[in-house]
Amino acid sequence: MSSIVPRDPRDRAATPRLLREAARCGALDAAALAAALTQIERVPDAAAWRRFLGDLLLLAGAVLVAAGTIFFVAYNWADLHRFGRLGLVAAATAAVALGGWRLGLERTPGQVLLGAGVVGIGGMLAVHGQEYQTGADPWQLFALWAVLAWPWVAAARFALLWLLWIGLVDTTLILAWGELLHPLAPAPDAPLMLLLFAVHGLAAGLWEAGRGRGIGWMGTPWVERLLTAAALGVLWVPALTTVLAPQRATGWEWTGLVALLGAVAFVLWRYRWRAPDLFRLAAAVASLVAVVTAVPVSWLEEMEALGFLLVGLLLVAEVAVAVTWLRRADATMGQGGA
Amino acid sequence: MTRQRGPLVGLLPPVPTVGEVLVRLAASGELGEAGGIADERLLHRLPAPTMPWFVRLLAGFGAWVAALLITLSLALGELITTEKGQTITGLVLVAVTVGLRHTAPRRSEFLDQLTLALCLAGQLLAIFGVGQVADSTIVAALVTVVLEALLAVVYPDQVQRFVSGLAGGLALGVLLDELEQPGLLEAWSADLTVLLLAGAAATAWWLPEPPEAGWLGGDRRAVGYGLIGALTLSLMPLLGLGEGAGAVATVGLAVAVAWLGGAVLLRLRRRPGAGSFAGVVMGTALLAVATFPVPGILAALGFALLGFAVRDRLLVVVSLLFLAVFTSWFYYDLELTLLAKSGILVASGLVLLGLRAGVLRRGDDR
Repeated sequence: MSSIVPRDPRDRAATPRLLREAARCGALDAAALAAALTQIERVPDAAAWRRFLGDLLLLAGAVLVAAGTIFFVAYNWADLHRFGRLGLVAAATAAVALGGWRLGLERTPGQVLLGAGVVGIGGMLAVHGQEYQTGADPWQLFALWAVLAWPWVAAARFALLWLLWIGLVDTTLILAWGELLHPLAPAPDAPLMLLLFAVHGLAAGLWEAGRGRGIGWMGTPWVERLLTAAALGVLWVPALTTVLAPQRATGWEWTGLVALLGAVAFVLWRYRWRAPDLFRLAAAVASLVAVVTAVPVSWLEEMEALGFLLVGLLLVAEVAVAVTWLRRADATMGQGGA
Repeated sequence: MTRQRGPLVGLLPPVPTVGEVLVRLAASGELGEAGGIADERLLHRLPAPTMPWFVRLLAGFGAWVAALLITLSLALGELITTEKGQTITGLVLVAVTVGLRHTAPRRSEFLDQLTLALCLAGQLLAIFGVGQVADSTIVAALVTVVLEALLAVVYPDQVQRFVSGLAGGLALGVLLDELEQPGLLEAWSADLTVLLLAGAAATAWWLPEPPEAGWLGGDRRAVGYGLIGALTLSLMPLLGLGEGAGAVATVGLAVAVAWLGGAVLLRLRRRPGAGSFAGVVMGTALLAVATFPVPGILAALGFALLGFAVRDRLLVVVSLLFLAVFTSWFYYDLELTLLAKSGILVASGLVLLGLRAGVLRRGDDR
């Protein structure tokens, strides 16, 4: 099923609005509606409250104690010797990673702790760079962080951690581009955006393939959805640059525009007909709206006030068409993709 | 009970499905006692599910950008040459769009988006126009509060109702700040703003849902989320005010959280023991002392409790996110030293962990 909202009305969350609609449809009479509204407003039972308070107080308490500890360390930071600083960060990183391993990496608390350890690796590298003034470029720091973190990320088999790791890769590429290649490239950003598009697209494809093969920890589709949205999003830069100023656009930027239109077409085809997914369709539609809206924006300089009005009305019309199409696609996708 | 998956599942309140509610009603005999009738076969007549959040986000974002462009076109054009003209144009736009939403013979996405964009543009024009005509922040803030309160009732749209809560709440804070009298506690207006916004937002969730949708069309929570947005933006500056800032708000929020705890106890059991009430009061008092005078932590925990009580998962998540954001923001508070801030956080964290031990032990004893 493609839709994020259940088809069977009995499986939908019983909100007051839905219950009133059910009454309007005749499924509930007035007395039944009143009873149903009272039913859903009953506070959860004592057992649920105990679980909730247990989790809430643990999570909030741990976060506050951890934050307070960090604040305390920050207060005393200037007075610490370099070995003390390095040792402190290393000890904290090792402690959380060990704690995660002891809790078990097949459980979420263990995975979260190991994730904290991954973050701690970055902290260690930052402190090391600060203390020893190695002269390393920032991109090298992030690259080393990504390399050192990879075994832990692979061991955790935790979707959020993989997203964090891809974020490290992105940061490495962006910083490396700025340091190494930017002075050489005629269109500084477009090749970088295309590279990031390739990275995100590949990652999304691999994740989808893994999920398709039944790898359990890859079960959530949200990772590939976010990666697909990111892949489309980075191409907005060269595409909109080309549309807004086609005479000044370079070959790389035209490539970015073509890549975006091609990616949008592919996403619309695949996730409408082959593997229905409304989120990815929405991301593709949003990209199309951005490009189409940019076309008359380039004329604004000549049209001024009237131009803003027309572009504003055009945008309203585009969004209305987009939302209507998405709703109809969602309705039909749930009925077997017809 | 509805299936729950994923981490920390206890944090998310169980939300029953329509089918589960009907089964429970039938099993409990409530339908019989109330004389009610439920016919599941007619459920297929229910309208299609509402749009997923990301589609609503697309629609809302498009409306905002369109409103900005339309406002720019009116500002750049020579149709409006005076501030009075700007104000009148804005109010006319608002009135026309409200009328269109109520009287349009057939709803469509295009009309919904257009009217929302024009209504937003009209509000911007009217508020800025009034501010310039009166040359008074107090007047502009007052007009904003009144206009947004009216629109929250008469404009049937979740995005607009969220905007009404947010803009109206922020304007209330500005109004109280401008009305502050010399000689009183310098930061009383900021504390009062926090308490009023927190109270109004909590009311949006706590009042029982009537059978009829009422003035707000069943979108009270949209207004509530807007008010929480305003509350978040009001709590942050509180950290940078002078001595005494936050004290009244902390005490007020502690009282509110204790009241909420007591109300939940009463709903859970017909005759809760004095020990249970005492536990709630003591726990809240301890937390208030530990976090005094920083009200953000109590606010976050209070709304998380409220969200669980009324089974609103989004409110629970938003509250926890707010706690994380507030803690980060707290780092930059210049009124307290890092050591003092560290002490507040560690103390409050230990209080929470101690309360947890008490809750679990009490559960084991039973």
